[in-house]
Amino acid sequence: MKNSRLSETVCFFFFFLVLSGACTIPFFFESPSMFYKLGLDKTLLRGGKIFGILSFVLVIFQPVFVSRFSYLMRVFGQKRLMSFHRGSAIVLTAAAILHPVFILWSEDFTFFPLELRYWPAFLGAGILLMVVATTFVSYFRQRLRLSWSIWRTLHRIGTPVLTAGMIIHVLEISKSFESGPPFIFLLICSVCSLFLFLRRWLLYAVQPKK
Amino acid sequence: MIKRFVFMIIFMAVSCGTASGQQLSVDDAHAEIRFDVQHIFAMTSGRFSEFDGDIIFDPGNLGMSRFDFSVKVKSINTFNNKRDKHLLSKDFFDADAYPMMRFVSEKIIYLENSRYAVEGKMTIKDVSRPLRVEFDFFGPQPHPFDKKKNVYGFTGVFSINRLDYQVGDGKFAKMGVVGETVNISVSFEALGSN
Repeated sequence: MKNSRLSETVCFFFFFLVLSGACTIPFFFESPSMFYKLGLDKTLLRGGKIFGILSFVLVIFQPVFVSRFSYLMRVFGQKRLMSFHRGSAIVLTAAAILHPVFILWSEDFTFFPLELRYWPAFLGAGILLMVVATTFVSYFRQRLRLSWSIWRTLHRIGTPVLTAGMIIHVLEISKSFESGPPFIFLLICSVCSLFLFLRRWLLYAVQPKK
Repeated sequence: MIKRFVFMIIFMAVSCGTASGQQLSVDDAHAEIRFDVQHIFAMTSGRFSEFDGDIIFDPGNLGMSRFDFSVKVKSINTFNNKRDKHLLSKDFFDADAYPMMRFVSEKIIYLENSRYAVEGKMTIKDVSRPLRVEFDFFGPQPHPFDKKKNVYGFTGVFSINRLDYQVGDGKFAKMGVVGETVNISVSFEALGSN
């Protein structure tokens, strides 16, 4: 019992350490776009970046909750891990929505011209739609009369696409993530995601079909 | 009666055609509006890629000649997407509220050789101010690839103070980051029938 509580604390500590550490990136590794913002605009832009990073890190963590790692299953149990997965989805969706709102707010809602060169921003908009749609469908699946198997298939195909899109979006849109510790952090997140998705696909491939 | 009416119409059309000079169209592929502005120590340059020009120019009849240029603010390109987005925001152009810049000539003066000056009103962000631009006029000459057309050349360089047009509130100028003076270079070919 005592060991289990300690393991839980260690897991939560690690989770919040990664999350809060990532959220300090806009403070310690300011991108040039931040230099030209003053006062409230600077706070809004930084806030928008923090929401974006928060959303990104939570997306990276999402498969961890449902990957059935024996250690996590032992510490939290499957039911709690699933509730973390669902709860985290709400938080990351809210953060994903607030991310462009705050960034656009810092520029008085000046929208991007519809030009190809702004594709990383439009990719971000596409990802936001995917995130909102995924969370919406997961919560209202039964009302939408979507069977569990169809939902699971869509979710399994959609989430790797969403994660890859998010990594490309972060890499292309933010100068902060071009080099140094933020780039290494992004690289680690990408490798971890790839490992988690490969592991899940392999497990799915070898498990006996019903 | 009908003959007289037809004659009057033809006479008016012909006299308008000769008095108003040649209506020219800007050759988009060979036209550019470039600008540069000081950023701390270095000059940062950019261009506007989308603009329309309503040009009537006849060196022999400057009184009837005119320029009317409209530039789409959102076509700004300084080869840095984030900077362009910032320039379109309320910190500078406020492009959603003021999507176009316009220059309308009021008077064209011959200076010497190929040199002319155009005086008119420049409007940016609804602020209109008088502006004089000296330019060189070349041609006309038959277009090498289209014998039915004449090609005309116009090249001019001028400067404006961006704060006169409320492009920025001066905070970046006070910080010594973005200069007030913007150097603008306009160069284009225009086509007219020969």
